[in-house]
Amino acid sequence: MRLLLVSVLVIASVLAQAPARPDFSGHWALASATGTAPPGNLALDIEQATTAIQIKAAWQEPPGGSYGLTTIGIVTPLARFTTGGQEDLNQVGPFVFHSRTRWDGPRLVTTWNTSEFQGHSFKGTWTRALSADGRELTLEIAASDSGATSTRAVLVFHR
Amino acid sequence: MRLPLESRVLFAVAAALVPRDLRPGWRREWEAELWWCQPFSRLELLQRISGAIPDALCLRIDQADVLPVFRRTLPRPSTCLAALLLLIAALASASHGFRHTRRALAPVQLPRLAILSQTGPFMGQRLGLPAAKLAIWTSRARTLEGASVYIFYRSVVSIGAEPPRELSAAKAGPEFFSLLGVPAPLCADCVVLGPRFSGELTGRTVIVDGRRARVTAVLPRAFWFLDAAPAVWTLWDPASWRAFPDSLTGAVCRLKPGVAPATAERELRQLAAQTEPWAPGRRISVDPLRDIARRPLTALGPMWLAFLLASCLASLAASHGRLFLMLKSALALVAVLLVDLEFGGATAITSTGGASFGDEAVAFWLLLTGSGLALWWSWRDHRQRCHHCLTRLSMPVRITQAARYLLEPSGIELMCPHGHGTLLTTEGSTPESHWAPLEIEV
Repeated sequence: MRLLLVSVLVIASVLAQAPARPDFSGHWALASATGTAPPGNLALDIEQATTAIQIKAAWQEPPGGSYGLTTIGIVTPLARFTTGGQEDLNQVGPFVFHSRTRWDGPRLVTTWNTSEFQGHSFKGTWTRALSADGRELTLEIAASDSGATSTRAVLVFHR
Repeated sequence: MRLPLESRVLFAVAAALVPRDLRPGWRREWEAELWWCQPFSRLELLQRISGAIPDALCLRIDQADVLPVFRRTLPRPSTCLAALLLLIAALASASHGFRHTRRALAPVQLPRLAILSQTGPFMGQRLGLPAAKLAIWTSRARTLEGASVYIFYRSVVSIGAEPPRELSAAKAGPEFFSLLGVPAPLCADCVVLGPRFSGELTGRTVIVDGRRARVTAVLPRAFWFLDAAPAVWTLWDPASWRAFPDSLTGAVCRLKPGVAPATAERELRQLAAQTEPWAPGRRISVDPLRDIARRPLTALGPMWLAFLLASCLASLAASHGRLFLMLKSALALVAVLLVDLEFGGATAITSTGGASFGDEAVAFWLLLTGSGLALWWSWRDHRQRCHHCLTRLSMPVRITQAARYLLEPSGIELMCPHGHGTLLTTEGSTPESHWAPLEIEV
């Protein structure tokens, strides 16, 4: 009984000291983009649970049907990530998207790479952060392709 | 459990190698192991049972002092041939029964099938075709009975309760399998699984590319289409991957009866020139699937045959053991060719029916150097064998003294372990060897 009580107290103290995770849940519309040209009307629907996050994206197809590949993995209908650092697999067009997502303080960091398709593959990092008032989501993208071309972009979404 | 004949024979051979007192226990252990292999194919079962041979040999070696036996056996000519045959058997086991070689030799069931591709401006590199343009060309072509696109990629697949995993996959047009003569319908909500899966999965639901789909067929084990061997086939939709505009698809077509590939090629080139401003340096190619499958043999075969012929002629010129030398050289050359075909990338075929520059070059040089080394070894080994019984000579002795180099031939003398004679190999600018038969036999 005493052991149980001590365990409960230890867990409670650890939980009390753990930093509060920001909640990205909600509908987010793209407000601005620098470093890339994402498709028009890009919006994200995020559902966040304790150890996982699910992101549904909607956008308007550009007339030519193509857009910058800096946003690969973001402009995809559905992606699911666990936040415990395990490897996640998602399908992004002809690529298999390998990623690991973990919390870095209040920021959610995803490191990813893709399978190869017709000689091309990509890798990069996303860093998601919420503003203090919780109304602005900033997504920093650092990506590079198999030809060693690197790009950096920042997407800002508003609730 | 009832084993197929070839597996039973191999198992009996392995059991015979095990010392008599250990044999019942060894048999029980292996029978229990094989009980788990019941769903295996005959070839897989044979491969599994081939593991019993080293196991049995280990037991034999553990119990007997085999070193003197090895010392007596190794120099024999029969041991040399047996070792080469064993090497070829090991290659067979490691390559699933010479899978690639058998495929290159097998008759193609649908000889009118051909791969359409376009050669790129860089060293005639084979590229895929734009799917939209293919539809226009094939609707107007009079030499084609039908055509379909296909494209290989990687996919996240989840089957049953298994966690999602990354597998090779392919998208193909709805008429793809009918062109190939395989009853495997593709539709928007259904998939076809590759031969690696069990037929029991037909009708089950799987998740491919994040979407649920019903399995309409599992391809037969003998199914082959180029080298990608996708685990899952799904329907190609022109809207797929619109954000990836550079993707070129492969294309397979069936020629009308009596139409030569060159005729179809001419017609398609004319159509391409009429329907679009064609990029300079790009030409459409029509390559029969049969030729693609046999290309490794047609590309490497002449060079290999030249080596074989050279070895036969050299064997005929030998002073002793001509048949043995011919057999040994031929087996060594066969082993080199099989290594090249099965593991050297000689049979690697790209998604457009071509071969990558690297693979072709590696396969060519591997065969060239491998065959050269095999013949060199064969000839060198032959020089050190008894002219009478072909046993490897032993007991090397240095002949003459340094101070008398100018007066007498110097070199190394080797002796037949059975006392048939001695071989003196002289050193210097013109090394020679002299065989001296002995009259006394031990």
